Amino acid sequence: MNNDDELNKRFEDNKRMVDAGNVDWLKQDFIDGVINGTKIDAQKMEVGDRRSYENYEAAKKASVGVEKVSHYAKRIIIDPKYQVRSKKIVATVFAGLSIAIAGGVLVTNTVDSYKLDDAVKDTVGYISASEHTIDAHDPANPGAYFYDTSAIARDIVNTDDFEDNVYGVYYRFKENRVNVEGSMDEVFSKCNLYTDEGYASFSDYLKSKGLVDENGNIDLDKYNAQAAMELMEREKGKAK
Amino acid sequence: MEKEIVTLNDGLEYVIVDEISSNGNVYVYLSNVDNPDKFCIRKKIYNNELHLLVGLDNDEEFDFALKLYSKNI
Repeated sequence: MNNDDELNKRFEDNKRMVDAGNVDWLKQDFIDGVINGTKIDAQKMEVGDRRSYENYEAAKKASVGVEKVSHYAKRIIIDPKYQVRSKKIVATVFAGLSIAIAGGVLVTNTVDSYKLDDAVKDTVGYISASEHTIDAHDPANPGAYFYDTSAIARDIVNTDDFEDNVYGVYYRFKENRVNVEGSMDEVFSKCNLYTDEGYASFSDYLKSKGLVDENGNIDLDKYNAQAAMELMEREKGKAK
Repeated sequence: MEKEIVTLNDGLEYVIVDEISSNGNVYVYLSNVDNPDKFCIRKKIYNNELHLLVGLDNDEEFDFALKLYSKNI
């Protein structure tokens, strides 16, 4: 067994345990009990709970502390048995692409998600939205944040790749999953502080591109698909 | 299939079990390759063109992030 085979086996064993919920202390009822204070009397704990509580405390100790910093350098292992399968998937996707283009339909799954992720994260829009996400430092709501939309607007408004940068901002906001459209509207509103050729809102921008459904409502799925494909096309153009 | 493993500041290898976005943070859930009971959480941040994994701010944030995860399994 070579090193990658060995690591593959360890990876599989680990994922199977955690995904199957075989790590008792990570189960929701135990976590809720600890956090709500009903499982913290160590004297009265059963042996299993005590071990779980020790795991919980060890995990907390291993997780808390802003001095714990490491590069997010993922080690990617390719499992050989999946390489054959992935070739079949690629062939299927190409067949689907021909049909989809013939029907004038956008196909999101033809965009290589890994390359897309890298490309989006290189945009000024994504970087600016990440840099201008501000922690509210609200003890009652840990992790709450707000955006400096003026700074984001200033960073993207006069860039050559405005479309890609808008998508970068959208992509970052979407990762955060909170009030995406409202935050995008605010960025577009702030863009008007820096240009006379802006849009009243994100909705206005999407409608100007015809990204609406049959009822005239904005269609974010269409926007996501189109913006992703256009970004990847421009990336391919730069690489030539 | 690509499998993702990272080395943390303790020098050990961890499997990326899950990533969950909430309130503007991306929490990364990690399990020691050799012992699934050894579990920890980091936040993914982007700084000076580098993606970093950093420890959580305090115990309350740990409980918050852990609850997010336990709801998903």
